[in-house]
Amino acid sequence: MRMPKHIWLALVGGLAGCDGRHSWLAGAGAEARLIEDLFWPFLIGAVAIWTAVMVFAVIAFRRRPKGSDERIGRAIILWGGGVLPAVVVAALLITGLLTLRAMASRPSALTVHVDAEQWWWRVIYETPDGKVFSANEIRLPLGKTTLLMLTSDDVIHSFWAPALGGKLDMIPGRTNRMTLTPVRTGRWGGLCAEFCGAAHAQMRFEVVVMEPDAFRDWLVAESEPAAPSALRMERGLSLFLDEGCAACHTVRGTQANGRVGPDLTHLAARGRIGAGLLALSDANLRRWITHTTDVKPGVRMPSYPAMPPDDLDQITQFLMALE
Amino acid sequence: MKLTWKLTWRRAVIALAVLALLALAAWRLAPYNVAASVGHLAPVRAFLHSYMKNAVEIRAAALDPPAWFDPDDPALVRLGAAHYATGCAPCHGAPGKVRSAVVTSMLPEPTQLGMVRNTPAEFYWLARHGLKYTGMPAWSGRGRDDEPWALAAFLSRYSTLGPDDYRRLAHGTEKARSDSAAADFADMAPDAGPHIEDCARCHGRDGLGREGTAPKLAGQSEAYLLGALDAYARDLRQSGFMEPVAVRLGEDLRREIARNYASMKPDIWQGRANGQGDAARGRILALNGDEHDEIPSCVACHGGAGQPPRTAEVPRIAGQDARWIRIWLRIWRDGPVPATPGAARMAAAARGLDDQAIDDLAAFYSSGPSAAATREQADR
Repeated sequence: MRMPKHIWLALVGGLAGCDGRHSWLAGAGAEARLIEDLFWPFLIGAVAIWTAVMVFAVIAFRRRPKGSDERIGRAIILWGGGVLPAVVVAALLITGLLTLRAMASRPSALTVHVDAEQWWWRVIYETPDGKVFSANEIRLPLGKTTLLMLTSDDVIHSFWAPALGGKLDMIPGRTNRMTLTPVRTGRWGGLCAEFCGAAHAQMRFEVVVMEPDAFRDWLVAESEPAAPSALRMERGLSLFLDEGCAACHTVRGTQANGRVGPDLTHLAARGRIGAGLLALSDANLRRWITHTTDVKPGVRMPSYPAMPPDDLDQITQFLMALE
Repeated sequence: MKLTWKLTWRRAVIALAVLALLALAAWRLAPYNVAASVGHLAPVRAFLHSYMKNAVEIRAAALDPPAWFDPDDPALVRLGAAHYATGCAPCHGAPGKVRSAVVTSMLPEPTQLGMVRNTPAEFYWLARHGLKYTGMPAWSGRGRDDEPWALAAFLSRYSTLGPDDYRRLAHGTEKARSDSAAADFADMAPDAGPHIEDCARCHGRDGLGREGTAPKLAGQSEAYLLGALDAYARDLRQSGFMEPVAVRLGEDLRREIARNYASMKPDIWQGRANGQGDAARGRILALNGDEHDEIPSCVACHGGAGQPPRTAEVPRIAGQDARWIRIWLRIWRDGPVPATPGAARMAAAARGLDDQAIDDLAAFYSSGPSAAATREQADR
């Protein structure tokens, strides 16, 4: 029998999820490894039970009825259909709860608040010197446990960085706690895992796992106002303010202090723009500014299709200097 | 005698064919005369007129006037009167005005409204939707369902007005131009004078507005004024009041009028509050926006009292009247959103506003020159 081509493509597509930035089999976090440790016994057990049930079914259909079958049948239903599932499910529940507790109760070295918004992520690091505001990219120190305080400002979202750990709903008016302990450096993908409106599929983020020293340096830099080289770009900054960007965005060190949209103080230090959507680049920034609603339908930010090319150059250069 | 007649397929088809031929002949030969010079046959006229009245009555009965509508509101009556002078008087006449013979030769002849006793909702419906086959147009500001209520208020007292009352309501206390001929549709004189009169009916001769139903223009930026006038003229921005005026100005006159208003430099804009909203809460909202309700800061673009707008394309709001601010914030939120290039910004900004926030912002921005000090304090 020949399989139609699209089924093969679908299978290949499915396998592609098993590797890379979004794979929970990547083993990039201690919590993801705990989940992986659960997964393999679950998988083996499920396959064994399924095979046994199928074998029983085949035997049952092939046998001719005999007088003694009634008693054997009742025993099979009692033990196989009642006792065994109860024991298995109870065991699964207990190991699941134990794993959940192990994942949530690690003592943490750092607290990060992640506040989901339609359709981006507000990220706030707690440091002894105060809060450090960022957005759409979460940086974590390697080997340290970070406590994530997850909440939402509008509808229910769900935080999921599969390579690092579990998935947890973000509920308005409630703070859910989750820990992540990365064990591999790199850029890992994350996404909203609960349908939250028009741009749900484009509500992504990146988790950047860094060596602890590098992380410490980065956090200090992130807490600083915008780069002096950017602040010296008078024309770009002035256009940024003229176009009204400051009504929603903050660039610390300027009069832009809007809180409705992502903090842009260190935009150019991030890997992606538009909430994990496009790689940070000059061309993508231009496209984002002029075709915002095409790139991300439903996005709250208005498009600026009529911006004069020279102004666009200046604003893009200014934004790319926000390192 | 007994008539027997049997319906067969054959006969039915023949009958239908004959009917179709008759209909085609009636269409092609047009025996019913549509000439305005001839008029309707009396029974046809009676039927059409009573049908029209029924149609208006039944639709108006289903209308729910908005909560803010007060037929006795003097500002609303004056606004309606000012538009009546622009849009209605040329055909329907006005107290003390002689109608053009062109108009009185229309069929049906435009009703002289002094004899009409309609409910406000019926007047609204007629002004908003117009009447097919009569020459009565629909409201030219598409989606501006708020505007015709001003006419409803004015027309509700129209039958009681004498020439002086009318002139005072429509033109203000100063002397009106062209006292005789109301029909000035084709008035395209190169001189801006008469057109300034059109503006002054709602915006005041000093450009500082009348009761907040229309914005203050004196000292507003030229770029903004010209942009708004062009947008009305090109149907990018909707208003049944502004479009008829802006369209007939032509590009040069629009520029001239924008420059004229921009060059008037009143010392202050004294905003008129409307007794609603909390100015203190509005100030905080205008300065900081609201992170949780997705409301961006207003001052980032529009400035505040004592602080000019960020660019010339952005209108100055501080010192406008609360009534006008409220009308436009609701339009930006609920539509019809203008189709101008920058409009997406303001629509995005107004999306998160609720009625209370709109009233609070209107209260803050209309609190006039006194807001200057509070804003400087707020800047730390």
